[in-house]
Amino acid sequence: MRVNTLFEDYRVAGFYDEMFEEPAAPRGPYRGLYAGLASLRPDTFARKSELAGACYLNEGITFALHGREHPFPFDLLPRLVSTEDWSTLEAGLGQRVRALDQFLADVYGPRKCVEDGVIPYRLLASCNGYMREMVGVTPPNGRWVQFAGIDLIRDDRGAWRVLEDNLRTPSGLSYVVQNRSFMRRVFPEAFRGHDVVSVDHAPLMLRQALAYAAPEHVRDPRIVVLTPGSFNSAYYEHTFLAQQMGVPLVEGRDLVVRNRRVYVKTTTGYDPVDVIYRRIDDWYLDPVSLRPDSLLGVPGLMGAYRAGNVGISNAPGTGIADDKAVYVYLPALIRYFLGEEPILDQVRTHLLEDERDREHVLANLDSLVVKAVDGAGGYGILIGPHATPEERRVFARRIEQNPRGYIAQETVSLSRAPVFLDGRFRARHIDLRPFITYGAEPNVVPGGLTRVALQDGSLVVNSSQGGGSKDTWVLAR
Amino acid sequence: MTMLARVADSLYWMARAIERADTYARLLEVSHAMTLESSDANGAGRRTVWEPLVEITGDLEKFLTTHRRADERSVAWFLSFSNANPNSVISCLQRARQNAHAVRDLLPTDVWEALNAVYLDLRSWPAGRISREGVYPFSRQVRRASALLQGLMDQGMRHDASWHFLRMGRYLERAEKTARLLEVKFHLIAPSDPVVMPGADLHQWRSLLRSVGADEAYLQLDIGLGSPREIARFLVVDDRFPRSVAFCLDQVSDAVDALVSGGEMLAGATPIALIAAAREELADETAVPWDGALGVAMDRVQRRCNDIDAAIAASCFAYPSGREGGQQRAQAARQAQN
Repeated sequence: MRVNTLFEDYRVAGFYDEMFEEPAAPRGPYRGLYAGLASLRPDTFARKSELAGACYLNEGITFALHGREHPFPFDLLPRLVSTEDWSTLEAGLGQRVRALDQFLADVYGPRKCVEDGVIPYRLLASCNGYMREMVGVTPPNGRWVQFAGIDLIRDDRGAWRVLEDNLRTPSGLSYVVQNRSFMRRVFPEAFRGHDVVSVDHAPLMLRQALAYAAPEHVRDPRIVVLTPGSFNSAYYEHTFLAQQMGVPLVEGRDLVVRNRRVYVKTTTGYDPVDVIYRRIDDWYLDPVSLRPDSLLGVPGLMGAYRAGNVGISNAPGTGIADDKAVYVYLPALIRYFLGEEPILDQVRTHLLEDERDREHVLANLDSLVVKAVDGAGGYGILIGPHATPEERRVFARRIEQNPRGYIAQETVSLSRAPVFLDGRFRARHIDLRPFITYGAEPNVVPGGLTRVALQDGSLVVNSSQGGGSKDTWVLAR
Repeated sequence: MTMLARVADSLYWMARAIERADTYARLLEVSHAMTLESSDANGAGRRTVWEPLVEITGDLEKFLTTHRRADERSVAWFLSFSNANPNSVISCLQRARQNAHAVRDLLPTDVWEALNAVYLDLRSWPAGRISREGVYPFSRQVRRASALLQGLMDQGMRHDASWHFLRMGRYLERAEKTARLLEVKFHLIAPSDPVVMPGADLHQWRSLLRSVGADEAYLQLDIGLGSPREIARFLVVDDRFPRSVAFCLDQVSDAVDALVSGGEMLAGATPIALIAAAREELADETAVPWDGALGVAMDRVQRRCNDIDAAIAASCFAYPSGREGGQQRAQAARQAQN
């Protein structure tokens, strides 16, 4: 018996399947992989899957969920992205990050985009991520963004679309690197006959980009990773990135500000810091000028930042770009700031402040997806077609009470890919989060994190909701 | 960049915790072996073996609040898997793992994996296994993990500040525990004439050596069976045996020197003077009482070790905003990672 027999009851119909056009008829990029599976026995494949799981547990790559540590579920069958698709995505993602960066500079600066009627001021000022404290601040090099994670999905025709932008604290780069490393360890024969673009240097790409957040006169900036500590769900990633970038991992309590300069407390005294790659929320950065109860930040940090003595990445206030109502305006903002046509499509999205739009949405809740504009991690979402009438009523009420707080999107049939579950391959929905570093130019880490909804039919891929991941191979040819 | 104060603190305590787990696993194994052959293991063993064992760990009072009496079962559990005992092997390994977690970016991946693996494996042991199989498999696993970790650190890390802080923690812990072991055992066996090896207590003396893994090394000294004094001298001042008090203090001293000359520790700091003083007291062998009074000297060594520990903490680990609290943890857990 061969692994391919595990596909016997695999169903392709109804959705765009990443691997198969028809049952037993793999798409072009997957032909080599499918053929290779023919030389494996099912129990070998199952054993390799177990070994991959053990890799996660041994490394301690776990996700804290409801106070317990869980290994991050990993599926052994890689997700492939063709050369042609990738070059389009690369261009489109880079374009998007350039536009977002210019947009942020404009919002906290001259606000030309508001003046020229591209986006209403009211919408910006009502973003939860909007920081009045940043108005008039120019970060080093005029750059707001050094790192972004942009979520992509494929619709039922296989067309790529942007689902959301994450500039606040995009998470998952460590899994991209480690998925590949475990894959090489337990399933080396899968690579045979493939020309896969490497991802091991991704943390170094990030380090290069972070140098652009340093005060302009600093030539060899001292960078630190600021973590909220080991009780954070992504602590593993913070340690991994610090280690792989070769920079110290610090907590807020390790840092002090003196004369508007940031220092780290060492065994002998205080060393200066030039760039803080922060993995804590904007409002926690500084108890003196932001949230007074913050125990994670550094008193006086914002003063040092405004004085131009330290870089913070991404700049505080970038959260407005994550707002799902701002997302609606992104195509217009790309045209306005770059003078280019958007390369990547988005998902059709309704704002709910206009009464007519709102009524249309409320009447069609059973076919739409409703999201909180500042939600993340798969929380605060109503998937209309899967929801109960009661859940829809709850969301309808929330929308009426706070129309600015929600958007509605058409339900996209996310593409599916085979996932090894209980000894068979089953079709599960997936998305893709590529990571973009923005130093001299935007650079996209080849591939990204393919997230898998492990529940049958589920559209929620977030790891905080029990999602898993796949290694993602960008094929060089 | 000079090492972060908090990082140095974590490395130091990680090494101390691993060393402590190793020590207690050895003690447990030797005590178990001693009582196996005696006719009424629990009755006689209680006074001669199990209670002194808990006393060596310094946790007898705590032990007696939760256990009625010291016997094989209660002590083995208290020192191996008890969550109530902050110094049980499992608690030590948990603490070591937490500290390692806090400095993961500085540790070789292999070190983290080995520590994580031994912790997870012991955690998965069914509750009754240690009394069913005896302590040997348990002790062996802990000792091997400790040796593996030490080898991985020695061979996989640059011998830089991180490594020296680890070394400092390991050897200071070891110096203190060897002194403690001698204090309690000398009180218990109390040789009437320290120059003659008493035939009656021969197995006691051998066990003492064995509890610090010194039995084979000692017998290679070419001094025959020696005497209680020779044994004590070996464990206190032999400068080539890695578990003797003197050897350990020399290692701590070397580590401090290296840190100071590397600019990772302030010159002229009190730890240097304290270590020198402790070492000085052992330098003149004739000044050390090798009889029943050795306990007093060993008590002084332990106090010196505590002072050194406090001085190191004051010089190197003090960082601006204090230690992590519950509220900070709650905030940390809330930070969105999108």
